[in-house]
Amino acid sequence: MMGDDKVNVEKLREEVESLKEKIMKQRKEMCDSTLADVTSSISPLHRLQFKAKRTLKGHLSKVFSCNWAKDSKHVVSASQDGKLIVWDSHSTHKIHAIPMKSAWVMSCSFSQKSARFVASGGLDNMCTVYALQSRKDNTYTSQELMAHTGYVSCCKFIDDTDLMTASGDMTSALWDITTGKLKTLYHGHSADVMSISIAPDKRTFITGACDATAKLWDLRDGLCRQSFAGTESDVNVVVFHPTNLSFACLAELQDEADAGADSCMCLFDLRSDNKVGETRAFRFSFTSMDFTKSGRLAVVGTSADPSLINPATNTGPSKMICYDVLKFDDKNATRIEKAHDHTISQINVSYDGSALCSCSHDTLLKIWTAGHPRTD
Amino acid sequence: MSTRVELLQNELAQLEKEVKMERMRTSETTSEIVQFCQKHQQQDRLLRPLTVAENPYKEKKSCAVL
Repeated sequence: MMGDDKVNVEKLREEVESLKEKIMKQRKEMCDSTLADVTSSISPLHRLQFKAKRTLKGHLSKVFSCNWAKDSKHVVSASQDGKLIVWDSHSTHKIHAIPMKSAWVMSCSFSQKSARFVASGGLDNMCTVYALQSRKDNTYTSQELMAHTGYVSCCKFIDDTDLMTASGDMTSALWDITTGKLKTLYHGHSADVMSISIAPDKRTFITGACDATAKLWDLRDGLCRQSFAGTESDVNVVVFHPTNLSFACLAELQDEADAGADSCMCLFDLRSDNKVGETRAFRFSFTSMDFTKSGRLAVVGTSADPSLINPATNTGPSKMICYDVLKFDDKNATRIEKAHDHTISQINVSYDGSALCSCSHDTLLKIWTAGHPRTD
Repeated sequence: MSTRVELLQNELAQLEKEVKMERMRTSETTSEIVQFCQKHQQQDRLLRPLTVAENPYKEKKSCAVL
């Protein structure tokens, strides 16, 4: 009956709101300090410097994603030019140039146990896994993982047999690539899931979605353990912290005439279920980030600076900003200006923590290492 | 396709689980994060320049043998 349904919906909505308020109160009770409060006596990081040691040239169009192999030497990148390129970051040589069936790629990933597989996903609603050792001429054996009814925004290998995807169909998924079958589908978000990050202990993972929440899931039982609100709009990137106890997210902010801030980076603590740090970007967006191995530093990539965009080419320089995670202080953050000539789409720290890879709409990838602050 | 009622019921069920969570104090949890970072900082190779032995990206100095 239409009438009954309306009453039901209203009643349920009220119950939902009341529980949300209760949870907010409980969180507030446990929030007796921010991360910055606890670290006021800790000395700030020394001055940092990053040097671009290698530039990987070869893509003909915007690069949307990059990912290190576990050997901290090979990198895979995906571009609008329809190619997945596997690079030797030391020599800059292209080891593989894999033609993708769909050029509408959004994400790529390297297998995390060996360097045998790479995967890509995008607007074709599927994730395709390529076996690098299977190359014959320029073709590769591939496995298509199909089940999503929306775009694949993010794909991440857990090891060599399991892979995860996040999708515009509001779900995330766990796949067995040896069979090509879906193992688990995770429901709970009410809008496009944009990012996924697997915990260092591989027992849980975080997703970020356009419903302005990030969620923590149990990989095995498929259940959502926690939901994190406190970002105003779309959560586009989530990254687990090396401690396995917290994570960072990059989210959009609602348009506010006064504030002018477009995006923010928030640090959430799992066990207190609270946001413990936040920093905002004005006029440009945070597009990508990763933590260094100790978790002390968060390196964030930005969009092209709108005030520096060349109207003829519609491109402009972007920067990398390095935040001391323990201080979350914008003033003391190291800025690497003009890191790329256009929006940075992804930043990934290598497995051994010694190098950083950035990729951009300017068609390039760059490999960065720490330099001497005085001389470089 | 889930109906509006079903979606709300699912959301309610999820919130009923989440409200039961035993939360810790941020002052406690954050100090563990701080300790971890400080403990591993020395070995963090992006916080200090790589030694020559560690650096696969160093400029190779070539010797010209005439």
